[in-house]
Amino acid sequence: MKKETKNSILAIVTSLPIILGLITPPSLAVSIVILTIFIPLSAYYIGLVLMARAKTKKDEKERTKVTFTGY
Amino acid sequence: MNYLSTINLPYMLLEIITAFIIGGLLLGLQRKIIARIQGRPGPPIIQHLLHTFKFYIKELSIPRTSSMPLYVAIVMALDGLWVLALIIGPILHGPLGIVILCYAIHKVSEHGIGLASGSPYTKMGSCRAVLSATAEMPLMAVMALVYFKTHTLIISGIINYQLNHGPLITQLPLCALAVFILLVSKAPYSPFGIVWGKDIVSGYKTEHFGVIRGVLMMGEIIGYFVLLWCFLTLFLGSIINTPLEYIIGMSVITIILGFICALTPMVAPYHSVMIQWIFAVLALVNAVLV
Repeated sequence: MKKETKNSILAIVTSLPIILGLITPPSLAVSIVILTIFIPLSAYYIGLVLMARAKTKKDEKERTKVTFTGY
Repeated sequence: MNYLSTINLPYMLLEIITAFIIGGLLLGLQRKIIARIQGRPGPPIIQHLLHTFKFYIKELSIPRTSSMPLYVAIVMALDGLWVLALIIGPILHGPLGIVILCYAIHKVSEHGIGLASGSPYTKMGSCRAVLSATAEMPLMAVMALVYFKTHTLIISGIINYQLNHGPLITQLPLCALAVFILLVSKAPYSPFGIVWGKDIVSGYKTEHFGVIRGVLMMGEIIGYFVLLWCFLTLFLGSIINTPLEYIIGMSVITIILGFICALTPMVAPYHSVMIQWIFAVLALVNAVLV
């Protein structure tokens, strides 16, 4: 499995408990555990996905850049 | 246990995001004030937040010498600790002991972050984290004096005590001063900021780049907010009640911290510990007098 795909899956998996908690709020103790554990985890994996996207965009820009070679 | 009844996850998430934005803006304000005092225009107030987001799209490079699971996990532990402190303190008004415990473990996390990368600069920063902990924990222990005065360690109880008997800053002024010194020590560019002193590049976070630095900064912003909130609640609890008053109070403290950080050079590590211990002893004198 590609690293980017793995990170995307992990980003979804780690944000899922927070999203589910927003839809159906769990008990307070569970909410504390979810927020304490999954906010840093999802922040990290979402960050990795964003970083990979930014890198791909940058690479694409570099690849398609028309450079003037001179006469 | 009635403080554990009404608040749910969406509310807490909203509070965490608000604390992150306010904390980031306050740190930006502090940088602005330092710059203005030093005769520079300085970055915009929003810069600290932008800086945090910027790291999310920067490439993550992990040093070859790092001990990999710890290198990432310890940063997330630090972040989680401050989120927990934020939930227990400002959101639930729960036990003060847990907030103090989060602070204590956060010092251990700083030590771990420094050791995990394997760089000599970060190792030096981590050693200084332990050194500064020996000075800061007695300052934090003055919270015990708050217990002897109010007979409770639940934050809502401490606020109620102050509503009936007046703010604690008038009854325990030296304790308030000791906790204020703790705030000074945690402010960026602080005279007591030996942990991330420029003599060791950026201290324990020298080798943390990209996303991992963004997560680290997120934790630091929330930590700064929690500490300011704790100070205002513990010592000015009867004066400051509404969110607007908290924002004004935090801004005033940030301005004072900005002045202190701009006008004071960073002291040597041993002097930093010595000065902080003097304030801790002063707080104990206050306890004896009371």
